[in-house]
Amino acid sequence: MAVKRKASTLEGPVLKRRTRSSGAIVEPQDVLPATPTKVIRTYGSGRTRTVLAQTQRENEGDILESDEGPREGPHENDIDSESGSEDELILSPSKPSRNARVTRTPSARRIMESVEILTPSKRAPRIYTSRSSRNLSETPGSSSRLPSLEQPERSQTPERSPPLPSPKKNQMRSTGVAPSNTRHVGPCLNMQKRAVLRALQSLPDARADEGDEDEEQPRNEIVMQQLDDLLKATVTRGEGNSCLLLGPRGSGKSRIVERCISNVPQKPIIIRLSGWTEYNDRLAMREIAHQLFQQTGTAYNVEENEDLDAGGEENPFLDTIGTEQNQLLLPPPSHLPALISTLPTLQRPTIVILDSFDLFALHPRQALLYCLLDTVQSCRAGSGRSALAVIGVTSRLDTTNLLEKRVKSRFSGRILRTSHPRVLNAWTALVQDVLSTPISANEDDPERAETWQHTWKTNVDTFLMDDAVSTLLREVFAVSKDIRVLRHLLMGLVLRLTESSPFPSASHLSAAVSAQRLRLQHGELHALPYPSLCLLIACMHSRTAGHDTFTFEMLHERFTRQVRASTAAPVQVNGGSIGMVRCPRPVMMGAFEEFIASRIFVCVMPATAVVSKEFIKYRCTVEFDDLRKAVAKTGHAHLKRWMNKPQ
Amino acid sequence: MDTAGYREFADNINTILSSPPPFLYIRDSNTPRITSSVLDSILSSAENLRYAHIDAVACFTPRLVFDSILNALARWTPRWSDGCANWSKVDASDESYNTSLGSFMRGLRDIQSDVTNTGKGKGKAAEDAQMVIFIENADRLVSMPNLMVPLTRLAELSQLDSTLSVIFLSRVRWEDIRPPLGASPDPFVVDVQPLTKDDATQFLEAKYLRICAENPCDAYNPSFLPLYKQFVSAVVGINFPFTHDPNELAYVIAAQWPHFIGAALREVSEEDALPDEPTRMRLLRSFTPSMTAGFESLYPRETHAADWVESLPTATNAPSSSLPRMHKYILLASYIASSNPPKTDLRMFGRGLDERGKKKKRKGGGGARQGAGKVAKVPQRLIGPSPFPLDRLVAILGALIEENEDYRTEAPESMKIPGEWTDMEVSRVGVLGTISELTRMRLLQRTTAVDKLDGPPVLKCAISYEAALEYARELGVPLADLLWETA
Repeated sequence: MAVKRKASTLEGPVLKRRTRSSGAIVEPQDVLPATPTKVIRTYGSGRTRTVLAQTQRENEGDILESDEGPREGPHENDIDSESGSEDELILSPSKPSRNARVTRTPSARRIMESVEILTPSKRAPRIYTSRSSRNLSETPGSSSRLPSLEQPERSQTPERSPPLPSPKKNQMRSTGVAPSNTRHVGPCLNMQKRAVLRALQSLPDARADEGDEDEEQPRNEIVMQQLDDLLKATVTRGEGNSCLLLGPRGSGKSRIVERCISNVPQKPIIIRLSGWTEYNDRLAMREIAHQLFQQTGTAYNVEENEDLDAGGEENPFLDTIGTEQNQLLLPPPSHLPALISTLPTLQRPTIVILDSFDLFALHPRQALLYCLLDTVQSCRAGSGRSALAVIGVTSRLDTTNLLEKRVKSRFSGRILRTSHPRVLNAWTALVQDVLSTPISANEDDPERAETWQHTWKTNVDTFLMDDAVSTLLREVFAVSKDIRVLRHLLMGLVLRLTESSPFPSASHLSAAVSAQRLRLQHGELHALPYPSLCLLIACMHSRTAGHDTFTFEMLHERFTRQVRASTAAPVQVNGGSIGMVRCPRPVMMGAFEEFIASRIFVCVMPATAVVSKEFIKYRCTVEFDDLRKAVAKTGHAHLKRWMNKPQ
Repeated sequence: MDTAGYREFADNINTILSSPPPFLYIRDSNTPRITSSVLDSILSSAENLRYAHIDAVACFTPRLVFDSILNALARWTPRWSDGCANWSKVDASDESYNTSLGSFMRGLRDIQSDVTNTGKGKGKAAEDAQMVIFIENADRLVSMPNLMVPLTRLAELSQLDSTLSVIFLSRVRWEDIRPPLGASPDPFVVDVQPLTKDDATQFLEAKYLRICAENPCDAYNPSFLPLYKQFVSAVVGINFPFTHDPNELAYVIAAQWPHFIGAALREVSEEDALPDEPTRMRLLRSFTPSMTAGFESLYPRETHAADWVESLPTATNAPSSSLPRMHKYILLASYIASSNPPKTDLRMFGRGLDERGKKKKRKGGGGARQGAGKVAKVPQRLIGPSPFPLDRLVAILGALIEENEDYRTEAPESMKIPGEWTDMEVSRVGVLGTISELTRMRLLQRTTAVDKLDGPPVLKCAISYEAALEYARELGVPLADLLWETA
């Protein structure tokens, strides 16, 4: 239920967002119940428009102000800035005709008004408030910073609209809370971290209704409804049904299936198969027999099997411990069609779930699919036999094309498509939800917990209003809408909170993004020991010389030559040579083998016993730039010189 | 266990374990063994948690993986007296869990239900017991492709969603072992920070104290700790640039510490006193060469610590001069045949009848000539020996012997033509027998199949340049003149 409530409070920003991005596109008539799909898909362009608008502000600031002037009074302050940006959007040069824009302006204005009246939500400006306005609100009265903003309409924002995290609270955070409560921050922060992590693990449940508020009904709900109907038809009316649940990874396919199954009125027999675990038909059939046995308590096709066993000779090499009963339980592969055709004869209807359906289509002759779908097709409602439903779950788009003709013709062709949430708001709402998970009340000091809760919430709000944060989220969202990505980002974010910086910030998020999403290929090159760095530099020189593949001998040769060259000068400091440090060959070999183990050096030829290990050819996966930066970071003068030495 | 440098990691893991994600990937490219032990101690001290720690090197078949995981999760130790039976549920023993992934996951569910049931009896605490499967050296799982994907999505497949999580630890990046086609969900990645010098020193000191506590002996006494600290910081200071692995450093230190403390105690007169500062400095300085030397022979494990301490000769691949003369000639010929391009043989060894006795020294300019924009040729000795047919070996052998051995006194009168005697000598069956003997000794390598009949057998040299030089010196052959490319 909490979810629902969140969703409804979210309506504000979402609706506004829609009008914001669509103001110039959608006709003003379909103001509120607008067809949302058009709008959402233009997300990217909306973003560019925002950027354009921001660049435009300086030029058109005066126009905007005069536009806003009369509207200031009756509305909530913080939304004014929002409508201001709306105006900017409309005035932005993304549309060819300026006249058209001007004529449309009033109607767009009307849209905004209606929205404002509907949702005077305080969370509204979260995404759009710029960092500058936040900074201002943190230091109230510091209007000395205003000139730097150069935007008249922006400069008015703080006076007119103190955003939600009131200056007082923020001040408390920036000055009071953290230092004075350092002792208390630790336990509370720990509890908060754990609470957030727990919330993250049960994330999918909280997500159901967040997705597309601006559609009449989210796509996944429609799918769920359809699947629910289908299964009910099978269970109650005895129809044989087959369908394919298709959608990108992490879009909630399995969850929909699980929910629908739990909604089914009678308790059907459920057989779950996965293309990953049952990678051939024999395994699949064993699994079916097992699951049937577990759920019905009867073993099927036992008699035939016994006969077969009696005929066969005893194989002394088979592991016979515990397999005798197994053998009794499991029919031989030739009885697969027979086993599946017993499904309709059971007392209860059966639902077969094929996870990774596309992999089953790769089995030879698609025998399992053929048998299942054939049985489904021959199910007749009202014949007194139990029905069978087959649900395929896959993320591969061309799955139906993989099916053989005879299999395809038996498949109903019903494809239910799930999807990710298509607007960023779903994500921001989720972030808000997850981060503001309350911690369980602390018995010994409830006040402190409450104070913490308050401060935490304020800081989360500030965090979400940060422009950098929304930019980061938007960038990630543009690449992958998978909710699991967001989960990993938030986990990374939460784990980065320490007692010295206990509240989420954009820098934490960007660190999490670079750790989880934009991983450096080889992050810690600078921490490598000296022989390893030498080998890598030798690699780079070898590559420059045109030898992409190398043997250990080649690298070692380059290294020894470099050492000789650098120690050639007869200069000594404090009795020691100033050249590069020597490194014995076996130590170098050890470093080389470590690289092979961590796959920084990849073997390019099949390893044979004929080639001794120092002559096996390898390729290096480290790039020149990464190494250059790493060497610079080590501050090792000799290595730096060698690295930059032309050869 | 509070290992230096792992505090942040331990904090993070403890936080994560409060509600672990289904799939966690820990990457440590430097010291995975230490990380593994740290993680193990974290897991074993966590409450309400059952965990299985397996090593993918040891569990190299699916069956081993299944059995080790299930036994560890069920806290079951196979006993000899029971016939080493694996864990199985008490009432439903009609199935072995290790036959397939399906049965393995049934086993997981059975364990989970067992845990939950017993938990209800004992109290509520055990009810929400987490199960964690921790797989070390996870990159080895790649050899079991059918297992890799199911393991990464085990929680989902076994329907133990929030109670099961899988942790992979590897020194390889996830991107390098990720199954194709996005079959596995991307894990939550935890990177382990590399250890610093201070961390390594602290690790070694903690290890000393642990040894003192567990296994006190003369050299390992808590009262020596100040001296040990100095010794360790000296060894680490010298050897840390070469390896960052504290375990390797510990091995080197362990080989030398008893001697050092022995020398230190001999310096002081009375019992239970440590030498003063100048003495310590002097001792450390006198031990410095052996710190380096110890590292250089102990880190690559050319010898083991006990042998090194007694300074026994190391068993290396050094040329053994005990070989008969003909063997050495053959090996030398094989080295020349493997190093020189076949086309150069005539220029190196060939000469007319009248030129006999005159040395024609030809030096090749292998890598020197090089056109603009052309890739320089890599010297043959760097890319390894090239194969050669048996005929060529015999021919070069003949030339070598003719040049360097004086058979003329033995040669019968009938053999007037120069080289005739040598030709006879090198085509004896004994030479061929020696070649096959050397092949069996792996001083020569045969690259063609033994049962191949057509064409001459193709061989490759298997001795190093140093060995070849040594043989050449013993035989008095000017090897440098006979090689096409100068070293």
